[in-house]
Amino acid sequence: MKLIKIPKELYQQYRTDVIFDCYKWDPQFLDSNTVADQILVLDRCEHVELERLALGLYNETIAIEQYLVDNIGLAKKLNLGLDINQSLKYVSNFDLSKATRLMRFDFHPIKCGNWAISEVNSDVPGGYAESSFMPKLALNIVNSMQDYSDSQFFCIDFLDKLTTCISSKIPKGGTIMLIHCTIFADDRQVMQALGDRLQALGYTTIYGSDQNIKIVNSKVFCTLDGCIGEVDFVVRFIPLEWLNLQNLEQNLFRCTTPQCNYPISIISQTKRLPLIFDQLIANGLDLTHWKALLPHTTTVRYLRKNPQYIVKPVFGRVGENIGIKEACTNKEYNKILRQSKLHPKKYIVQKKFESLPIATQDGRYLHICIGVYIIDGLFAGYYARASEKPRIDSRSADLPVLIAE
Amino acid sequence: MTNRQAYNIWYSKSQLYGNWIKPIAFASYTPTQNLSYQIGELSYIDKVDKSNALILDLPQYRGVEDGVALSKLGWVAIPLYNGTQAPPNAHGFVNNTHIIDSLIWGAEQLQQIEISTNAKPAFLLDSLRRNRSHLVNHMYDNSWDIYEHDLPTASFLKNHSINALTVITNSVQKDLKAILKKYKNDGMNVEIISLVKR
Repeated sequence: MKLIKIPKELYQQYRTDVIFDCYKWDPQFLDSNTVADQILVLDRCEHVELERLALGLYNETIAIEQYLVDNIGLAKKLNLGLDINQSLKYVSNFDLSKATRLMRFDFHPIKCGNWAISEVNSDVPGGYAESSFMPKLALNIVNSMQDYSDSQFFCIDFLDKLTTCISSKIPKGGTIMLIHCTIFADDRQVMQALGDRLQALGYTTIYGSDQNIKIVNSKVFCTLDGCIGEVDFVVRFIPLEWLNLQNLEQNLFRCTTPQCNYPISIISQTKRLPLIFDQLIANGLDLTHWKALLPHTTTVRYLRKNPQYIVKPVFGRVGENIGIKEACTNKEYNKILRQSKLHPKKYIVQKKFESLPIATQDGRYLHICIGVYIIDGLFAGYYARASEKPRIDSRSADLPVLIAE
Repeated sequence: MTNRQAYNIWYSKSQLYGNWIKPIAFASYTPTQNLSYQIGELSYIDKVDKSNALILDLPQYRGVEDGVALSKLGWVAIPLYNGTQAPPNAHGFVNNTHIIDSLIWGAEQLQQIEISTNAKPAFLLDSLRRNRSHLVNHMYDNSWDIYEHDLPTASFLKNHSINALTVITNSVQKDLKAILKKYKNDGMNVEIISLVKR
């Protein structure tokens, strides 16, 4: 794996292209520019290995979800909350073959060994545009660089894979509702990138929030003026635990409309899932990949102050509120510890892995996280971020990923 | 002028602060060519300390009109408009359609203005951004909030000799209040200039 620096004279144009051509509408976070001036290049072996590992993780995760749907008593140990626990009983009514299942496993190169994963983004993984359009821009740049004139690179278009899967589930001309937090421009950018692709394939797309749906006779209906009617497929980009499941008219567990992702995903989204790994293994499940790649994970009660462990919120998103002593300010770290003490069921602790930083051509070192997408059991692309600190969060910069032949 | 050209002009005139410009209006809105805007009169300007950064929290495109006027007086206008667009035929809670038109108009004006290299930032917000209701399910909620992460940190501003912020507004809203509190905690002086509704 290596980093190629985008030449300084090309970078500003690249950043503008990323904004306008790659739906990157959140290119700054506090004082951090989130469009990296680097391109990540994987060699063929790394690419094959990541694909193999992510597929192994995906298959194990699907098996876990299915097992827990059939054994809801064990699922309740995940502390998913009353509303979700009550809704889980509807899961068996849903035909999973009509759904599109999308997961993103976040891999980190580590000092001891090759890879560790920090999590699976199982419910609503993002990064659609960054993993589809940015690599093509990057490919044009490296192809124009004299230093790489003898090299061959290729990239993967995640949205191409996702739209292919969705279009295999519903006929052309169907209506697809993209349900997201419409008040967030950075959520809309993800949905717009997908929506424009789907429209180009002949689908009608509707942008709306969970407030703009109503479930009637187990089907999702859109209630937005100008778009009222039954929806053929739902892409949800609102975390399930944010939904008001008590409002049965908007409870997506209760419908049979095909979805990506179907709410079953919450089972593997919670970072408490590893707490029941031993029970799952005792019941015959093979979790070889999970056990090999995920650092030891346990409850906060005993290990909160152990410096070998980091503290993570159970439903954390984009790396926020992860307590890593050397990556946080003291104030931030102590606040996370306090919160984990006050709400121990909302946090887990995980053994810290030593991220292996990658050298840049201009003498810096960056910690890298490579998200590997799997859709319906097939490898679907990469979403990479880089940070000078060993914590990947909203301050991290997005990196396009290329593969060297 | 295309949206992209307009963005490039705003960016090129932004000195240190261009990366904070919110691109959604430039990148996703279609102009209506309704370009009847006028340079702001800045009724409050005598009360503003010229060494302060500004936050203009004014209705719809008024911030752009005042931002252009302030650009002539030593500030650099940074649009932070971050609302999404309602689907065709659906109604949004917030009327964002003027924003891109005013930004294109603003870009044309900015082309004629020389911005000083040490200009202080004037961040532009729409004070109607939080117009929303959770009880309405037939409208698209394109309201939006401003967050701490949408602005430079106090430490960045202080490193560039800015120790105080002046907010020009009719009333300080909840989202902005939280940001101002953080700036104060981080050692910035914060002044509010309240405006009579225009």
